Amino acid sequence: MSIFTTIRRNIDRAFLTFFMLFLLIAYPLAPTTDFGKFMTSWYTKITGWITVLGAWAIMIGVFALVRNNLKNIYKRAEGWYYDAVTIVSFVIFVVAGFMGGSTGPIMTWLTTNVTRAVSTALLGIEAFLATSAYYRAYRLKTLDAAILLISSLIVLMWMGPVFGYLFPQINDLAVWLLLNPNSAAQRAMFVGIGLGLIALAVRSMLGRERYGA
Amino acid sequence: MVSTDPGIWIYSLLVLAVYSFVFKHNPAFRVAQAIVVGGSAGYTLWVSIEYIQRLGIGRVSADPYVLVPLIIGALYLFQIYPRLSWLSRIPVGMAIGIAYGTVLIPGIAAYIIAPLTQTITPFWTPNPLANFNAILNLVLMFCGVAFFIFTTDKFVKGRYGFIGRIGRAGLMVAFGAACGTLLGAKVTSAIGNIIDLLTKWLGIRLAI
Amino acid sequence: MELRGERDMSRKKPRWTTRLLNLDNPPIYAILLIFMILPLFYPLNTPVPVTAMAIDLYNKIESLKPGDVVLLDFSWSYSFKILHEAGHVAVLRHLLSKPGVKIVMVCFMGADSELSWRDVMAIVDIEKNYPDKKYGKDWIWLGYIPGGEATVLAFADNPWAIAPKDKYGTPIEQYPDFYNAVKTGADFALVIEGGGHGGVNGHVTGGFLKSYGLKYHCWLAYNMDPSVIAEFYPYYPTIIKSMLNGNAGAAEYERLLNMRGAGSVMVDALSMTHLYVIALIVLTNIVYLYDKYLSKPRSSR
Repeated sequence: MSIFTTIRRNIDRAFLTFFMLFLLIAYPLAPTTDFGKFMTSWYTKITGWITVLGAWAIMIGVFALVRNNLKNIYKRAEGWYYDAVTIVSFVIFVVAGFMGGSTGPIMTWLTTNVTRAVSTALLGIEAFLATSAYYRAYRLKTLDAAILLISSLIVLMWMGPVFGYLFPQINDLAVWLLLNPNSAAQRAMFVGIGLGLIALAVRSMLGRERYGA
Repeated sequence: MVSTDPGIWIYSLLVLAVYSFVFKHNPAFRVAQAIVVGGSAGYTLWVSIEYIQRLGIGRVSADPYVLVPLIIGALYLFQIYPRLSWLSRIPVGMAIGIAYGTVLIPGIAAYIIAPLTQTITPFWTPNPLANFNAILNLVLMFCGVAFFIFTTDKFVKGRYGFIGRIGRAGLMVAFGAACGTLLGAKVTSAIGNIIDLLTKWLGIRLAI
Repeated sequence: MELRGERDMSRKKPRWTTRLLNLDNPPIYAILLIFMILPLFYPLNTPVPVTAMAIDLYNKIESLKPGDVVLLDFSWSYSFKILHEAGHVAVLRHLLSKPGVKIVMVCFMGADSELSWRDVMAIVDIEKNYPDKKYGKDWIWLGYIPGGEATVLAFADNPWAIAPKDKYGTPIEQYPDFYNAVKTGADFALVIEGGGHGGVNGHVTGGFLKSYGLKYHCWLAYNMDPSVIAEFYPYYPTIIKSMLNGNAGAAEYERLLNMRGAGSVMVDALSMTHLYVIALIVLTNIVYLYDKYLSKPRSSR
């Protein structure tokens, strides 16, 4: 393998490892020594860079979305007309941005009447779908299902303000359930998440995780 | 009195198009979805351009080092050219490295150390309920970890199967609690949409 | 070859229990819709019991002194606007009523969370309702800062390095009340995160927990998405001091402020829909158990 190929294959991992190790070393240092001051000032600078990288990533994500939609339209893929609607909507919003930026009157009008409508409605339909799911899934078939059902019922009663008024004991029971068995189980999951986070960081450094283009 | 504002009409028709999905998947829902995907992309693009102008390019004179992420971030564009697409992995690696470097230690504190310190509490106090809670938390937490992480049969069946079963029961309580809280969030959004449709579009006076 | 019994069974009507246990969706949805709409025309005016979490947040804001800086985060996606808006409107009104309290407004979630901020500000209307509160002296708006959890953590360590200018491009040094008062997250007297999306692993909510909660031990409150509130109970009340439970939490806060806002408006409909769903689940399970254990054995078994 030529040196150029090696660089090409590993440069992203090199950047990842360098920045990760630098920040991990700088994190616990205090600016009391010269080395500490140097590391903490660079820690602050470098952590600020992620905002700019994030903004670039968002822009590239948008371009990728537009590119994929245009590709589907060109190839007349299934449902290409919906992709055409996406592109038309995108163009309208971009043109609106030219006339006043993201806070201009036209963009404000569009986001209030278009984005807000669909965004909030997409969440609202889940109320109906959730009700259907409750009806079909919550059956007392096994002991585990019974535990799931009973804890759900207690919390459902807690979430409805009228139950807390009529039966204050429901509030106490629900809070006890959330603070004790629920918290214990959540902590078990968090430990798993924490170990997974460490494993993922090590795997990324070792090049065993795929990401990027 | 029904509204004559075109904005309210567009809002209402889009809301109804989305809610039509509840009864049947239909083209109106797909069109509404496509509109919001494109619109959100357009809006997001402007916000990120403004951010780069304001706190990227606009900051170079005060802090020249900001050129580093500005230039490296631009390498994302090389995704388009297959021969040079490897360059687009550089900002990805850098962003992930910075993210891990910033998040790893606080993550260990939040996900491993804090749960352990909160679980191991005194269980021989004058308050019997507190003692019971402390023992329950300890047992459920460790059985949950055993079930969650050590997914071999040893902790689910056989002699030590009770550990896994206790852990699973604890996890069922947590999932049940999570499912129970789900409805409130969704219903709130639906009621908000209904109020807007009734008051702003149809002009119906509500008693609330 | 058909057996004699089989042809008869195919013509039998399904049992009433089977029909009840396999209802189509439209009647279920129709009844849910009725329970959502009826309270809007015939309000029950259900009293809302105020929980300890809302009282704790209220008392904390009441205890704020002139010069205290509060971080108010608007990190909810625009689709979740209805969930969080009422709570933030109530809390913001309370903060603005406190003389000398400074508010830093920011969002980390996504570009559309700026729209969420815009809508809250349109309802609160600081210029009209609080004319003594001046931008740059009593409150500033930093806009959306991209970058996810790393940005949230970095902002807590050094806010003005991450956001050296506000949303309008003015350097923060020109707002000495904020620039000099806050050097790290520990200098915020109160931190209120709006959103809760993604739960404890969410890049904003998790970042706030790790930085302001665990590292800087701030008085941390959440205006929470109800669907993930259960995940945050392990950290309550040691690290997280208060959580407003979506619209219900907003209604409780409005009770404490003696005001009627969007949270209070939805309380009846929330209660009725929960009652309906609970009744549906209980009745379904009664029918299920009856069908399984108490009904006569059928030839089909």
